[in-house]
Amino acid sequence: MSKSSSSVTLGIIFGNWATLVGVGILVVFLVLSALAAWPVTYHLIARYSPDALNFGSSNAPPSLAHLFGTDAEGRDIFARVIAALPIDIVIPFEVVGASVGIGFLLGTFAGYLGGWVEELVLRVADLFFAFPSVVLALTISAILGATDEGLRVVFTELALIVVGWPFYTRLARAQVISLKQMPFVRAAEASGLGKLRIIRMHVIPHLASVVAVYATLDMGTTLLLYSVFAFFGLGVAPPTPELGRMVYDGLTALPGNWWWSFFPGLILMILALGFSLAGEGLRDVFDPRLRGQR
Amino acid sequence: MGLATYVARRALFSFFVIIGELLIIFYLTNIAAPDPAVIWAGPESTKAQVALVAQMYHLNSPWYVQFYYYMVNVFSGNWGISPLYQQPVISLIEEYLPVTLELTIIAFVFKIGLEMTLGVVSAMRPNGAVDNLIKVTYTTVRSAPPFLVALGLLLLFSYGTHTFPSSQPIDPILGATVPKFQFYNPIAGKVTGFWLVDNMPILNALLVGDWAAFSSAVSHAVLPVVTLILFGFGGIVRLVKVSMLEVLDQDYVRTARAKGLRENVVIFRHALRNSLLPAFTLIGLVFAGLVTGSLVVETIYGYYGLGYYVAESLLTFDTPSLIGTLILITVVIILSNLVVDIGYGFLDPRTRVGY
Repeated sequence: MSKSSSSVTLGIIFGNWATLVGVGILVVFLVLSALAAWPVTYHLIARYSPDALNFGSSNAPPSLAHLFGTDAEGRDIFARVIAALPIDIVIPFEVVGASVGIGFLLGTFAGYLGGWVEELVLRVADLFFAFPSVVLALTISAILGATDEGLRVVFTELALIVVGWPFYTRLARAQVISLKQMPFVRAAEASGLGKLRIIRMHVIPHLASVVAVYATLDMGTTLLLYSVFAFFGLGVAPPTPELGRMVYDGLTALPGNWWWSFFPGLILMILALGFSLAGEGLRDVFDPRLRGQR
Repeated sequence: MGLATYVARRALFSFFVIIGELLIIFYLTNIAAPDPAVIWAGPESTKAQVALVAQMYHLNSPWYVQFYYYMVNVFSGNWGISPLYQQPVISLIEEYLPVTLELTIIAFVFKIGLEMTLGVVSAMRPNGAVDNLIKVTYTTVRSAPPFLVALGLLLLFSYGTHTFPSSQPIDPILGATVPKFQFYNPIAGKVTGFWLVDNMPILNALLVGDWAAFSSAVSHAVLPVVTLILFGFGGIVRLVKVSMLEVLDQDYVRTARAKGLRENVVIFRHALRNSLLPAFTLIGLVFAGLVTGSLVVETIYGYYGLGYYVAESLLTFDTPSLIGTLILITVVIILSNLVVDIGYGFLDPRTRVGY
């Protein structure tokens, strides 16, 4: 008898050091950001408050007291990075979650129902897919958020969803088209089940794993993309710290105070690496064709 | 489907995409925005300026009248006046577009060449030491946000070793003295004003034969180009590797080997061309990625091109500039996608089916 599928899954996750590193990074960062979200637990990690000005120790290089150094106003950069984590992790979850929700449902129905529904959904998705997404999203967010600083992050997320959903529509539709021909779906149809019920009970469960893989990979991309928006001031309103914006602020201090930009950027990179390694590990589990040949 | 039908359908679709984008922009600026006149006049403008702009752009008329003037303006190149620079957007684009275009094209050529080579190399011995090294490198590099790569290179090679300059497309003193390229026209004599060429710092210096300016422009472009190459690095490597492995598994490759051909001939003459084909589908995406990357790269290196211009407009909410550049970038990317798709449909008839 062959090994059970869950033990194969675990084998791939633990047998592959890259996946293990990815999952490890994500676990560490999720724990850190969960702790950082509440003031009480936040102080378990960081010694200083993210907004505490201290002009006596401004522009201090990295040291034991200030792991990542301080910025021009003497704020501890490590404290600000920790305080920024919950926001920078939650936003990709929200954006990818909404894109998956919209794109996945549209794609599933389009693929299963076929006909004019499919044609319409696909053409609209193609239209959005053909846009230079980042510039479009930047413009949406800048036009709508020009007057209201507090709403900017909402518009940025909306813009990222607008350009994000078509990918999942295409993905889900392509999968459904081949699923539709499978014997078990034909059998369900033959036994007289309703379309909605077939989609819900027989189609969606088969898509979930593939979509989960691409969503994990997409999380890293969205994190980086959002950091570009934050870099240009289209993220959360100051003084709330944010990694992308900290990089931009730190540019003013170059070449002397390099740590101000460098550490927030480095943290973004490690986090994105976590998503991409974990996502590729998941892909090996769920898409055996590509196993070991990336 | 015949090639002509395919090209026609593809071109029609591209046209609709551009119209769709114009509709979205119109909706955003003239209907969804809380105060359309402020969008066009700039956030710092006075009440009188806003009123003037509202009148100029017919913003107090019903939406269909606004739409008419909007479309007329878009197609006649009347893209508004930048509140930040106090100049027509279209003339700013004339100045900034060629700089970025030059940078992007150089980065594009090197990126495609490098990634394809690495893809082929890693397919030679999958999971060997070289393959793993390449894999680790690109997985790490593509996880870096673009500004981190730019920052790292800047700190190392500009502020650290002083090998390359830290800002501007060309040394400002040289840049002020280098003449504009004159296009030789047998009837009218020498003609300037060929903006797409004479605003490209490297090409212009090369064409007028100013070697000091040329070497200055090249050394200013090195770090931005390297950053752009590293931005999103690895997509093509992976695709070429997978398709090379597939091709190497084909019967005709086995036949070639069975004939006793040397491995080099098998790979370069028989397998390579077919395995590079799928990479062309990514070219449009790569180009779009470079445009995005240029926003960040040009901001950090102070390289005054279109990306820098867009970034400045974002930071100051200079909406007319943003919209003008968005329209331009959309058209450029969609046209380049169209060219790629037509080329691909020509090379591989199977892809014509989708349209």
